[in-house]
Amino acid sequence: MTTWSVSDALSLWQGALTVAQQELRQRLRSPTVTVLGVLWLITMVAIVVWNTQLRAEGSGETMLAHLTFAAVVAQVCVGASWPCTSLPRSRSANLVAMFAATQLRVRHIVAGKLLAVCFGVGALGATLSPAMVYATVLSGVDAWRVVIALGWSTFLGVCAAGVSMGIAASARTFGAAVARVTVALAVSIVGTWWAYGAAVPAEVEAEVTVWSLDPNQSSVPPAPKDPVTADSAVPPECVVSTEKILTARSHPMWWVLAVNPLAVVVDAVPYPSSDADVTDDTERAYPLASLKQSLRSARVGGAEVVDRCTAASTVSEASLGSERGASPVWQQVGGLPLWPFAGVLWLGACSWGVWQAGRRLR
Amino acid sequence: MTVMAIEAVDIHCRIAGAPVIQQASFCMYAGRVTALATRSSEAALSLMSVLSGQSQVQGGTLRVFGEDVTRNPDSLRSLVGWIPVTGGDFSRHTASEVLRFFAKAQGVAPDQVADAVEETLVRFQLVHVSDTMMHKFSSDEKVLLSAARSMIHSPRIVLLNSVEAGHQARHVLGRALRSFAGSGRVVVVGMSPGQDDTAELVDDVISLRDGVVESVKHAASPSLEPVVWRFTSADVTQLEDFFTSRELAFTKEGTEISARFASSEDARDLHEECVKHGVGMGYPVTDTQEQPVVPIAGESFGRAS
Repeated sequence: MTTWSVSDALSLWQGALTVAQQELRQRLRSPTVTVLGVLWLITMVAIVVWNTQLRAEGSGETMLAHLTFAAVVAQVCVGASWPCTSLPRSRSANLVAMFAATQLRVRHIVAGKLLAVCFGVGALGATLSPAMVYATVLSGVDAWRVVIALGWSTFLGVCAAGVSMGIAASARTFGAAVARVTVALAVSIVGTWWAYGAAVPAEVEAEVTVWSLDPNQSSVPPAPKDPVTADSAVPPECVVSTEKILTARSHPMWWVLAVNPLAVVVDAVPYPSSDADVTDDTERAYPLASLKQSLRSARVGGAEVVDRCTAASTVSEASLGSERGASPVWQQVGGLPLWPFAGVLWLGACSWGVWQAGRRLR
Repeated sequence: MTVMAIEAVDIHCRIAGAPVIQQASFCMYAGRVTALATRSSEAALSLMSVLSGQSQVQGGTLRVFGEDVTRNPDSLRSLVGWIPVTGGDFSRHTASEVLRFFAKAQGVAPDQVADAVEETLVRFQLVHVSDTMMHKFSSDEKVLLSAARSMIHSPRIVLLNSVEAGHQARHVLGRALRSFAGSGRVVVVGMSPGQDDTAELVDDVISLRDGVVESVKHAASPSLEPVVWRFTSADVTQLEDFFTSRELAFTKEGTEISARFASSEDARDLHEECVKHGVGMGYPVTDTQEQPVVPIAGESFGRAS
């Protein structure tokens, strides 16, 4: 009988890789995955066909938008549902007992399962590649913007898996885990829009500073204190005044949107910030640009400074002396991205989930 | 002389508040197959959990190969091969993949994993299902694979919950266990009441009742002592193929064949072979009787004659 050389302890990477391989083999060979794979393929084909056959104009842009949304929803849902089958206490007992009899430890199990999710979610994104490439070519959108969108989508899918690990490991049964994860997903994807809309008063009357074209042309406004407009190139036609207007007050609830993966991905993809208003060109640069602008405006809420000069068609960029993006309102809107906060939030939630799973499995 | 591998002195253990082992003292020897006979599988599992280092005893002393592991059960893990559940989440894995997983999980050196898998597949006669997914296995193949994955890393101590299996699988398992024990390892199997088939595979039986050791029985002859068979017919040449195919060393003299049997399963098969060839009935010489164990010095124990 041969005696093999056996190491006393496995490295984290070695153990995690072993667990991840086992997890992926078991998952990817199950009939459920085949069924889901076929459904996913049908969805992709439907998106492509619907956009190319039924929509004559702008099919590439809308196809890209639809594919991005499909990727986000699918990756987050797959990531979140992944840990439900093996981590609830009724099911993890065998798993832990079996692995505990080897050199594997809880850290290997948790890291391995997360690694498997990374691969699974990444592979799901990769299956979108042909359709994405086709839509990118059709729309003329920069490929790197699409890559960033998919990267964020994958990141959120993995984070969702981390959160779900914590939830599933805390649940006693498979049913309880699925129910809790489903509620969390519903809250994240649908509930946040509803909560945002319900919690925010539509409009309130507030006193705001308004930059507008001087109807008299002769009254030159005093030099504004805003550094952007403080230089001598400030067009004399633009004057400042104070007005009471109805304006939205959404900013106290802006963080709710950071929980929504669709909102985060839309916000994270960069497009030319010089475009204060989303034009056809901007939409061509990235088809979700208008949605992104709405999100950021919503975060800013009712602006305390309203820029009517920029919007006026009579004012050329040259006469403004700066790009349209330099307007005070757009600076405020464009300067308040959602994604950094969302990234930290999702990463924090994922860390909690992983820690919780490790604690429960011990 | 037999080397004592595991010595438990007055150990007691509670699991979830309930006493599962109470003041139990026993010894297990390298080179022998020991059965833990219990009325409930829970008690055997608890004791195996202690012997595998996954549970800690609350009192008494547990020594393994001379080292006191009472307070340091973790040190046992690399010595022990025990997979407490038979199935697990491997239904979509082939036999090779399951064994490869456990070889890696047990820390077998990466360059030896393939050899370890191959050797284990051969030993447990699982080569024909090496590329078949586990959910297509027969129950016997599952039992064999379950045992194989416990032994993939050639541990010094092998624990098996049960060896309940069909005739052929039990035969293969018996040979593997005997082969393990023969190389100086400790083999411990769980045995429930009335499991006479298991009794045939083992050398020693430790019976526990309500967490207390009730009796310790040792086989009279060491496992690999030659067993003499006498045949009524002088023509035993037709049996040579039987011994050769099983790689059993034997000597033939007149109507007597002297061979080292790996298990009593071989004896049964030999009997069938005799009937098949019309050689006549053979008489194996083997028995089991209670025998006290007398310590000689340190870790080594001798057996009273």
